[in-house]
Amino acid sequence: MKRCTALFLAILMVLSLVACAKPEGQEPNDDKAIDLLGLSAEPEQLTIAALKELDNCSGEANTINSANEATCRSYTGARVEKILAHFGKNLKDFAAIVVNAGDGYAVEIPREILDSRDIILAWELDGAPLAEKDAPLRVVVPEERTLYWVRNVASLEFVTAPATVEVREIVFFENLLPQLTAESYTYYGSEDKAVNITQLVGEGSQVTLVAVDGLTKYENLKPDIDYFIKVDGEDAPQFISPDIPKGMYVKFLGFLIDGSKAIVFANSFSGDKDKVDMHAVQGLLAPYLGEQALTLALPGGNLTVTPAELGKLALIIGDLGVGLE
Amino acid sequence: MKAAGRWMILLLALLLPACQRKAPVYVDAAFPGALAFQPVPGNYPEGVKELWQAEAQDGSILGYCVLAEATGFNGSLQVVTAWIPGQGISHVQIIAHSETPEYGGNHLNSPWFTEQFFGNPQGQEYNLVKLRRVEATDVVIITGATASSQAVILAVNQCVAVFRDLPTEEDGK
Repeated sequence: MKRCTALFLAILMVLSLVACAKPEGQEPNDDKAIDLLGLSAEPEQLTIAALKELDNCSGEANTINSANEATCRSYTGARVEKILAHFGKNLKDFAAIVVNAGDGYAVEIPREILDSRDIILAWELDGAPLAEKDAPLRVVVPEERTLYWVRNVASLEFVTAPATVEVREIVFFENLLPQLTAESYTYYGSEDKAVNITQLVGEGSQVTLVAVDGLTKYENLKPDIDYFIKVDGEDAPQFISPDIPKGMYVKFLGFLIDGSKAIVFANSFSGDKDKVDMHAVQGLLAPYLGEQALTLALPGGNLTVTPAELGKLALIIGDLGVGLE
Repeated sequence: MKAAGRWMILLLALLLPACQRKAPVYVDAAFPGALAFQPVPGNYPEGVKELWQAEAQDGSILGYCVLAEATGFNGSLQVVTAWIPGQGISHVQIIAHSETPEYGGNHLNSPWFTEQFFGNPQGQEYNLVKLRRVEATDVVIITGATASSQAVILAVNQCVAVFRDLPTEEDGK
């Protein structure tokens, strides 16, 4: 009887071990999953095992560090365009991809990079599986800065650009400010002032945020999140929220576009002088301007100009706000 | 022989205070004016690792120091909190963490962040706030690092729970 029990237990153990063992060739991270947002109404989940079924490419790519030094890395992974094809989508459908890491890091890969580079989700680098802190996936963007080579990928958010609408109306933030309620916003210990963005645009709007250096981000304003424009202190004017990853903040805003209206931050174009560099405003706004005339809301009344005339305007920041010189 | 005895006494006099100060460096940093530190054994909440009593030259108690642990975004972080009876928290230091430098790690020991905990002699719990302090026990997060900030607040709250239960002169415990 005892021998039978022992035999039964031994068989049970063997069966348990077989059941627990990973299938042949399966890697430890294969059952982990990343979230794909923006492909459908609900987030899609993709396991690493499923990803490997979609694409399996290898190659070498340079990563560029902040000192502009290139390092060649070999990789094995899946191209994002193959993932999108599986969902019936195309990279051209999107204006940007936001990559979120497990440690809260986030970076937006803009349209220019999507147009010119492969975006790869790698599970192997330099011939070895990713280290634990990099797993389950690391982004590889050949010939691009290391900041895009996000480790420990948790999700990809595919961002659609707002429907192309020509800017027809320009208002200056400084002219709106007296009517806005600014609240205190603690920014790394500094008591700065910030304006809730709902005072400027409608809830649920999709806005285009452009920094003076040309950095462009698109944000679908979610109703359950408080977004702000920080109006003073370091990095102001800055698009910011305590509820979005730091990588999605936009500092030194030039303007934001909501529909056909551009809200321009004149102080960002004035340096330490009162005069607004309208030539720079026109240059930055150019991709959003058409042939039609523009209306500028100024303290003395509205002014209508052609896009070409915009850069020649002489505007100053005075006591009454931004107005004609 | 007598001379040797005198040397021994001198050596002991020099060594004894040094032996008494066998507390970790972080306890020293919390009470730089203390002459001696004594570990205080007890059954503390799970996150609390050590409790030390800081003593002055005359043997009076200067205050207490707790080492507590909580889980941040990337893993565990260790927080040292010093407490002066009647005055509240006088020192908060994060002595170990693995938070991402750009996402809170570089700012965990910034005075503007840690000094938000100072005072609070009643030992009330601290609350995380995202934009600005309203109550004295509000702690504004490090910009872009909610999880790391929350972990520090949790650790300090564990320390405060220990401080609240310490004996006071009034109750004669």
